[in-house]
This record gives sequence, C-alpha cells and structure tokens, in this order.
Amino acid sequence: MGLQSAAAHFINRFIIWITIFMVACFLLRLLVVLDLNKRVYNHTPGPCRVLTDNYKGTAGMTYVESQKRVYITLGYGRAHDLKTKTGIAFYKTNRTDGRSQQEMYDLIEMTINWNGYEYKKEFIPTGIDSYSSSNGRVLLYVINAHPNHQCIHFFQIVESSKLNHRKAICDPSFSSLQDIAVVGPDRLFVTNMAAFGRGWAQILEFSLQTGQGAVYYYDGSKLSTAASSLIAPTGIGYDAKRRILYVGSMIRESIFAYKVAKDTTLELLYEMMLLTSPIGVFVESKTGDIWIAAHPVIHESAWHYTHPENQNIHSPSQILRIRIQEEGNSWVTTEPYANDGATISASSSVVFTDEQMLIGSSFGRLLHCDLTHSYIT
Amino acid sequence: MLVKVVLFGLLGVSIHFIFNTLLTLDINKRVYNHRPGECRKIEGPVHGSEDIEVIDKLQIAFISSGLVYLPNSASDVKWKGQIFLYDLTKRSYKAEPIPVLNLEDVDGFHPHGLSHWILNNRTVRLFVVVHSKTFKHSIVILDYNSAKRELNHVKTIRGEKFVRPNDIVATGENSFLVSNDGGAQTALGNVWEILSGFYKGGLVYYNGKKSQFLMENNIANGIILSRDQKTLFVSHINQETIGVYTWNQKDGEIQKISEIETLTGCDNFYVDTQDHLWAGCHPVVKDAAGHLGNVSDSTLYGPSQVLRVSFSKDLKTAEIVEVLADDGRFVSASTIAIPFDDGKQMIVGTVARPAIHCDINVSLNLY
Repeated sequence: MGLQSAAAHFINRFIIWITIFMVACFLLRLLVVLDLNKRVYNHTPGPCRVLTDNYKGTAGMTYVESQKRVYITLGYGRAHDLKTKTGIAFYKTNRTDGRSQQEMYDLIEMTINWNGYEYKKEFIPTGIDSYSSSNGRVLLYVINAHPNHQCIHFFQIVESSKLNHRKAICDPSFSSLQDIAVVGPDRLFVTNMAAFGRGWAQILEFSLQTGQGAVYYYDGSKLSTAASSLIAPTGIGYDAKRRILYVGSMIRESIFAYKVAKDTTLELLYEMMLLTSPIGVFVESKTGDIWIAAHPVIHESAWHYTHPENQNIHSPSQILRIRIQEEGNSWVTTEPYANDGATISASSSVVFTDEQMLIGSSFGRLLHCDLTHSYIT
Repeated sequence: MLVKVVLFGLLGVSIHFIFNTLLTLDINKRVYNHRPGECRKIEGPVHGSEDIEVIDKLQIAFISSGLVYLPNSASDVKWKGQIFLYDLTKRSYKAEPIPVLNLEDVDGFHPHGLSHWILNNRTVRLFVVVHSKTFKHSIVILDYNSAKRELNHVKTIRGEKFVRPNDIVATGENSFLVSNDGGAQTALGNVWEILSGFYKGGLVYYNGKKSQFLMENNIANGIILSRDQKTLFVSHINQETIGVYTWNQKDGEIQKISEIETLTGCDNFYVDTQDHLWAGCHPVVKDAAGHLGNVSDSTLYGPSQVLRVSFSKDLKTAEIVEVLADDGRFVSASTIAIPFDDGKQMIVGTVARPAIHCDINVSLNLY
C-alpha cells in the first residue's frame, strides 16, 4: 500500500515536471521564431521605381521567356478584406522594342474571357506560373486565394493581352493555397500553407507548429498529395533543366529541395536554412539560381497581415539570391534588396531577368529595380 | 504552497534569462552577402585593422593593426602591433607600415582606437589607445612627420580611470575622450559581465591634466564627435544601440539626446562630410564571439556589416542603410568603415584580419 502510493506520487510529479519542461521549450521556441532581435537595413542594387500603387497586392509573378513578359497577379488584399480591383497584368522586359522612356514602365492589364464560369466575381489571384508549349501557345495557371473559393484556374493567352479561361480545379482540401509551379502541360504542384485558411485558428496552428501544410500534385486529371506534414509551405519553384522542385517553409525559415522523378514523385534532396521566411520563389532557368522574396521579421509580418488596411504598419521586404554549387552540397547567398517596409512592404514575389528585378508585395506596390552591379561572392 | 510559488517564479526567471541569452547570441540570425561595388583586400595589415583614421587634408589613412584584446596570456600574442599608412588617392590596395619612434615600450605597443588633431603648426597629432601583451592600458600621443613618413612619440598617459579603453576621440592638442568597453580584464570576466548586465565600462574625459568620468556602469565602444564638435555618438555595443549626447567641452559635460536601436553590435564610427554616421558592425554575436575568442584560427570568422546612419534634425530618430554585408569569408568582423572620394569609395577595417577597399556604385539615398 505504501509502496504503491509512493510510486503513484513519483509518477505524478514526474508527469508534472515533464509537462512544465515541454511548455517551457514551446515558449522558448515560439519566442525565437518571432524574430524579436531582427530588423532590416535598407539597401538597393541600383535605381528602383514603383511601377504601380493602384492595387492592394501584387503577390504573384511569373516570367515567360518566349514573350519577354512578366505576368503579375493583382489584388491579393481582397482575400484579407481590403477593397481592391483584382486581375492579371503584364510587364514587358524588352527595353529595345522602340517604346518611350515613359511607356517602358507601363503595366498592361489583361481582359479575361471567363467562358461562362460562374464564380468569376470570387477571383482573387495570387500564385501564378506559366507553360510555353512548342507550338507557341502560352498557358497561365493561377491560384485563387478567395477564402470561400480556393481553386486553380487554367488560362490561355490569346490576342496578346486577353486571357481565355479554360477550367478551374477546386477541392475541399484547398484551405490556404499559396503558390504554384508548373512542370508540364496541365501538370503542376501547389502549396497549401495551413489546415486553417485564416484568422486566429491559423495563427494558433503556426504557433504550435503542427506541420499541417502540404504540397499537392495535379497530373491533368487527378489531384494527389505530393508531400505532407510540412510546416507552412509557401513559395514553390521548379528548375526544369535539373528537375528540382524548391519549396519554401515560412515557419522553419528554410527551402526544401526535391528531386522530381519521372513519375513525379518527390524525393527530398536537402533543406537549406535561410533564417528568413521565404514567401515567393523564382528559379532562373539559365543559371539555376534561386531568387527568394522573403519576410525577414515574422512578428512585424504577422502584425502587418493582421492589419493590412493600416498604412503605418509595415512589414520588411527582402530579396535573396542563392547560387547552388556542387550539386546542392553548398550554396552562396546574396541579398540584392532589403527594405524596412517604407518603400515596399511584405515582399511576396520576385522575378529577375535582363538585369532587371521586379518585386511584388502582398498588399501593395510593385517595384522595379535595375541590377546595374550584380555582385556575388 | 509557498515553495511551489517560489519554484515557478524561479522557472519563469530561468526561461527569461535563457531567452535573453539566446537572443543576445543571435542564434536565429545570419548575414546575407552584398557589396556596393568592386571590393579588394588591402595588402599590409594581416593581423587586424581595428581602427582607421582618415586625415582629410592629406588624403591619407592611418590603420591600427595587431590588436591585443583580453589575452589569455602574453605568450599567446605572437603578432606585432603596428600602424599602417594608406594613400587614399591611389588605388594601390597596399598599406605601408610606418615606424613609431621613441616608444617607451616597443614590444608592448598594440594599438586599438585612433583619433587625430591638427596642431597650430599643421602637424598631425595621433592619439592611440594602446594595450600591452599583458593587457595593460595606456593612451599614446604621436606626432606625424609627413616628410619622413614616421610617427614620433610625444607622451604616454596612464590612469586608473582607463579601465579598459577601446576608442578615443581628440578634443584638443592634449585633451580627449576615451571609451571603456567594459570593466573585466579577462575573457571569462567579460562573458560574465555581458551576461549579467552589470556593465562597468563608460566614458572618460581627459582635459590635459586630469581625467573625469562622464559615464559609468555602461558599455561604450566606438565614440566620435560630429564635425561641429557639439554632438557625441557612443556605441553601446552590447545593448545594440547608438547613444547620442550633446558635448559641452567648456564644462566637460555630456547630456543625453536619444538612443537609436540598431539590433546589431556597432563598433567604431566615422562622421562623413554630409553628417552621416558610418559604422562597422557585428550583426551575429555568436559568430563574432567565436572568431574573437581565437583570432589566430583562420577557419573561424565573424560576419561583417557596414551601416550608414542618417539622423533627423533633432537627432532623435535615424534612418539606416546597409552599405555592405558579408558572412565573414571575405571581410571578417568589421569594425570601422570610412567613405572617401565624395562617397564613391570606402575602406573597411576589421578586428584581426586585413582591411578592404570598395567602390560604391549604388545609390545610398532611398527615400
């Protein structure tokens, strides 16, 4: 009797202390993730200018080499209850096509032929990618981030500045779609950041770091899970030449590199710790360099996403360029751009081509910079 | 019951202490490389370029090299203390050591902070913070002979108030301000001082005859006066702030104006002709500490950062531009950065490695 009660007492105290230890570890980890000791120091790689301030969000971008155009999604802020127009526009990167100095920085908004699609008013585009087929057809694939209608939309570009809606893929498992990477005609990967779409439930999920994000694969007819149990997967980019898929993790502050097999299953190659939260991923097809649009200070980003209507609550912006060496055994990271949020807040997408860099943000401006001096160690 | 309350209180204090230590060590930080233009290493100073002093009129820079800092023992110090001369008008990327004549203790000359004053007869007078191999401290005053390109010893000043001098700023022919960057005289004591937060450094004013404390129980690393000699900038490096004070030389007094939070450990300062404050900083404490704990190990390096701080008119707020950042493989543990050639070039000094010379090809005015 005495022995039993002593044993029960010991187990009871043991459990209490283990619980206290786990809570303490959780608190420490949460506090470190918030980046309380970080800030951003401003610098630019060359002259920069704002291309547009007219939309609450320029959150997704893709580059089409054959057209020398960058396609940009507009109006992501509506997914966070901001009043804004939504749509898709493009920017021409060719600077020797005879346009004037003023016209060179114009954005051209595209008209969308919805072909009878009934949910067109619930279109809030964010992640975007493209596929150019050998016959010259250019297809666009766009994530719809509407809280009630998360879908992948398929478009074809016709008559230079019009989009034909081809179809939409919607699925109950889509709760927080972020970005998209195309690996073939109508074959694509998408990131679903969290099990909860928005609000305090999502914040709690991030705080607990339960790892309920996923990468889905669509093979042209069927949707499947390509990778699961990820912690807040965000940006996704595909290196077609090397068949490597890069997936950013916002909470782990890292990039995962996967080998895409012939049957499109994913094999994890390595994890690259960035110590900054990647949101957008762009892969330079020529060099294989990875460009990251990041949120470097999480607690400021969280505050900014909670109050996107407040112009005085900024989130820092950061662009990284990663050059992979020795087949992924090592890499060199440079930071072409960083801003405390006063010029561009919460950078979420990036494209680099022809010594030009476009930076998109979640709720605000689109920035264009010249990289007159691309120094890399 | 009371025991439980005490235990939970201790647990809370422990978590708070661990958390503050982790943040202080910057375990979640790293540096992302970028440069403002082409950069090259400067030949000559191999074991450090901790402070650099530019003489505008002569377009030359003095570089202190061979720093001794919290040594474990004198026998660990296998390098020589030197002062180098760099010609800013040539792109030679090579600095020449210049002789220092008539020193009292030649072997014990390990220069740290530098400052200068132009005498009435146009002689350049150099004020040098010096540590010996056994980490004894003094302030050495040298006059520069430009014809012979040598430094002549004028005076050595010692005092109990020079507790652990780091940087110096001349305020006259024989007067200066000195910063003490702590009180501990050993590496272990320094770690305890930093972790406990009971700082014993501060600021000392020597008026030519005697010394007085202007600031005590603080940490002061780099110090510099504005070009009009009215504002004093102090790097509180372990608190990761820049303190801004009025300087009243007649009364020998300072008054605090503001404290700018930088979230990086800024070391030495330079004020340019546009009144921007330039600083060499240590953005990741754990890597800098590892490097500085064993400066002879070439596999260890500390991240470098060059910031340009632009103050508001009332000196209460500041905008910061990052001119250079390096993970340490090219330039390790930067301490000082000085622009020249109308802001088109820059030299950056380090604690224990060569200095670098960079072009500045990007605009630093973002707003």
